Amino acid sequence: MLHRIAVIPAAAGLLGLTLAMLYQLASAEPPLSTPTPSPGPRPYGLGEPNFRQLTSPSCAAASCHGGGTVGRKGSEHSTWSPDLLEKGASDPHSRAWSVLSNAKSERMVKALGIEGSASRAGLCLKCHSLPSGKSDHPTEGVGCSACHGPAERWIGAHTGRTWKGLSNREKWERYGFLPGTDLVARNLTCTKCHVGDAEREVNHDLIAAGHPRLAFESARFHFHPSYRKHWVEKATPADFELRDWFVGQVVGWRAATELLRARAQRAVSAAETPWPEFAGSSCYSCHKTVGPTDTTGRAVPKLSKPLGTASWESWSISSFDAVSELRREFYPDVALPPMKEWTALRTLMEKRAPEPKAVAVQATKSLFELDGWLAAIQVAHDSDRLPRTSPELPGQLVRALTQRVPETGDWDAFASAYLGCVAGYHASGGKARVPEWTGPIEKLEAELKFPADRYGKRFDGPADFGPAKLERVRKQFRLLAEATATRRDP
Amino acid sequence: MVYSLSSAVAVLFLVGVGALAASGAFQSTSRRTIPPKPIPIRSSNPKSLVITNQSCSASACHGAADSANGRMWTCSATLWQTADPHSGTFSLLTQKPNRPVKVYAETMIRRLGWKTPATEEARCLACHSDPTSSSARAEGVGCQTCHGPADKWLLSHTTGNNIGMVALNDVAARAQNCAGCHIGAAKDGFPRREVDHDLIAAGHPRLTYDFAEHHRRLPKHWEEKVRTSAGVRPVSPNFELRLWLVGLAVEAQAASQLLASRAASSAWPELAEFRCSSCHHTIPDDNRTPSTGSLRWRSSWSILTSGGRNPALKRLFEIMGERRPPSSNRIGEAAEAASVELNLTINALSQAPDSELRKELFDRLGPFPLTGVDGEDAVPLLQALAADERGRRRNRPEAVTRVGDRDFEDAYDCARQQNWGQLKDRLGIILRKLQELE
Repeated sequence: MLHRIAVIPAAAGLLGLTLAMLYQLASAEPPLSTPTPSPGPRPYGLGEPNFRQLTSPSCAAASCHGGGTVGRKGSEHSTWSPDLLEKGASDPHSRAWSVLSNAKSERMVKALGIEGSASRAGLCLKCHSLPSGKSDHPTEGVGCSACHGPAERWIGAHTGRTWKGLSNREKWERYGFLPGTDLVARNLTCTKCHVGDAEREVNHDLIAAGHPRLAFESARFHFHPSYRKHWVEKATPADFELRDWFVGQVVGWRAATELLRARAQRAVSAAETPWPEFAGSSCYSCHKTVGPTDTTGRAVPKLSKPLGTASWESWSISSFDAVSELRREFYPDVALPPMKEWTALRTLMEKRAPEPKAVAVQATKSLFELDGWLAAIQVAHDSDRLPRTSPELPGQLVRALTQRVPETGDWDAFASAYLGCVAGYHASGGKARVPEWTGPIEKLEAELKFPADRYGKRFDGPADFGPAKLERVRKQFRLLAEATATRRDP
Repeated sequence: MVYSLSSAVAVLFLVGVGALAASGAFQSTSRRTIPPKPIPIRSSNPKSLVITNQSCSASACHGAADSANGRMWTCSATLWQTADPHSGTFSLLTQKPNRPVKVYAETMIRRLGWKTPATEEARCLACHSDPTSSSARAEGVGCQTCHGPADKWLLSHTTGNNIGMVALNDVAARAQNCAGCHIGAAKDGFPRREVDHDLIAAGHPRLTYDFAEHHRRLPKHWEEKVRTSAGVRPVSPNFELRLWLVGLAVEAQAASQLLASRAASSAWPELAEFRCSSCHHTIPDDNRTPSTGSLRWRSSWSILTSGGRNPALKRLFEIMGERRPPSSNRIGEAAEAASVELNLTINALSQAPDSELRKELFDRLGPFPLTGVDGEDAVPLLQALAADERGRRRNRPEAVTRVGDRDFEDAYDCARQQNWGQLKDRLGIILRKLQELE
């Protein structure tokens, strides 16, 4: 009897306890926001899948991609590699390894204190070949696997019937195949070497030793006269120029941010890492003559950064405002993220001596932001609903760029704006269709080109950039903007 | 007990003498252990007198229109006011500078985004005038900036008893006084006195300084003399050389301390510590000779390390010449060590007998490799040799000298044209000729 009587209060107590717990859970404070932001959606094409690289002889079988007829489908490798019989254009990536044996590379390794030849130095092979350890065949240069992804998994699969039915993301994540038709994925691969990433960089020591500086511009690289392409773009030329410029810019920011993060993390962990890394700034913000011809100090009220500091990556990021303004023309369905973290990173980098730890944290947050945007752009690409770019867009692009041309003599910002205008120019049809743009474009090229000294050797920088030249450059940008405004409707 | 009192007195006397000897009272110059500090113009006592230049310039004191009976001190203040550039340093902060400037101070303030006008900004006034007193500001770098706060010695110095004044007759003390502004000084109750890279980017001239050469060009409001217990006598002909040697060591010490204080602050690397041309050069053609991309310390005193002297200073040079700006703690330690080591150098050069000074210079020049020398090193060397030459000629004007004016003129021309290769050659010629004369 006693236990039955005891059950009721026990049950009541249990019920009360449960109710109390439920009440507490219901009225609990939301959990504190996590200190580290979680990565959002990421674009495919990031990083390196952990599959084995296969070398180009594997792709270059005569019945596969080595057909022997340059320019034909099925002869991609023959188009890519230099001709056996005649010297002509090829893909410059095929020469990437062999340049490591030239005189300049030899001088460089001596200056850097590297033992042996550049063609065997890991520091060089990371970009100039498939990194040693991943490939048995460094002499092929930047071979097939470097851009198309490590072929271990997809070498068989890509010949099958089901391959075309796979989504791009599946191809990358399951098979390690980089879908080059998607411009985001393509540019992510390019920038791994042409800008840098966590393992690869061209820093100031390398540049001082003689390495050319890295200045990546996707659309113009694609159309370099010596670049013999082994594929045919599916998009129309105008579409391609514009979209590749746009995507190239955003991916360029992303790559620059990742490189900055890697450098900052190294500066935190290893005591004698150089910080700030000089190669992350515009070369000519320091490497110029100072004095009466210096243009930096004059337009100062508009400068957001303190005088006497070099601006971070002005080559890559000076297009930010133009890109933001035009994003809806390029991708109407893709929302621009608030870019708070990215803006905060740029503000941080404008300080005189930003703390590497803070920079690393902020760069990580910015990467998540940019990745989210790139992933959304990829979704837009992969859907079949992406509209053609409007015929007005090239003019809008040129106007957006010319409105934001800097007040000061930052050659990097000018040159990158100029190249964006060139993309717009070619997207409009070039000389044939928009002859009135040709004059300013050609004059800009002449002004921005590095001058030659009195012995005829070209300086490796804008040695004569002074107030007079600055005025001429700005004038040509203005004329170009006016020319786009008076463009006849097609 | 008979001799207890006298022996006690004797012992006390000996103890007293020994104590005095230990305190260095018997040395001819005081020990150089105090680093250059900003000379406070006002003493910290709030009740002290407010004394400005006007007090010194009384016509019966130092402000006579002309020297009376050839005594220059009677018109020192007048001379200073009319001829000395330090009288106009405050005007350089205004819109009416007393000499043409390339960039006005207000423009610099605007470019830097500072809020106070230059005439009230403590960071400007710290060198260009007195930051603590608004009444004395317009005097520029006034009497008390160099001679010390006057309330300590105002009354006593009229009796010839200069206790309390900064001992400017001592070359090292004089050089340290100047170095506080002309090189820079760490914060010491005052804003840090320095011209950093931000200021240079805003338009401030960079500080190129050589104590002996600045001293030579300064219109003097005093007569150079040596005070001994027996009276005064003129300085030796080698006085300029002493100024150069001691000045160089003091510059090195002041620069090392400034470097240490900059490294300790949050905004390291301070780019103004490096040679301007390390970064500010156009890049020649694409096939340029590979460089290491290293910077070099902005200095003109590397000769102090020749022949194995001053190893801590040499170490500092090496660290600052590394491929990248070194980390701040390594710099701090090295700079402190160099600065302390330089105390001995300054002492030794201050106290070296006049006859030994040429030897000090040429012993250092001997092993000094001229090949690595660029303009920043070469020009002070040229000035040292010129100072030496002037000393030699004053000493023995009748002596035939194979080093003629032509040799020096050529060298100066090369320096003016910034033709460093030729300058090195000319320096070599002069050195060879001087050594042949020995």
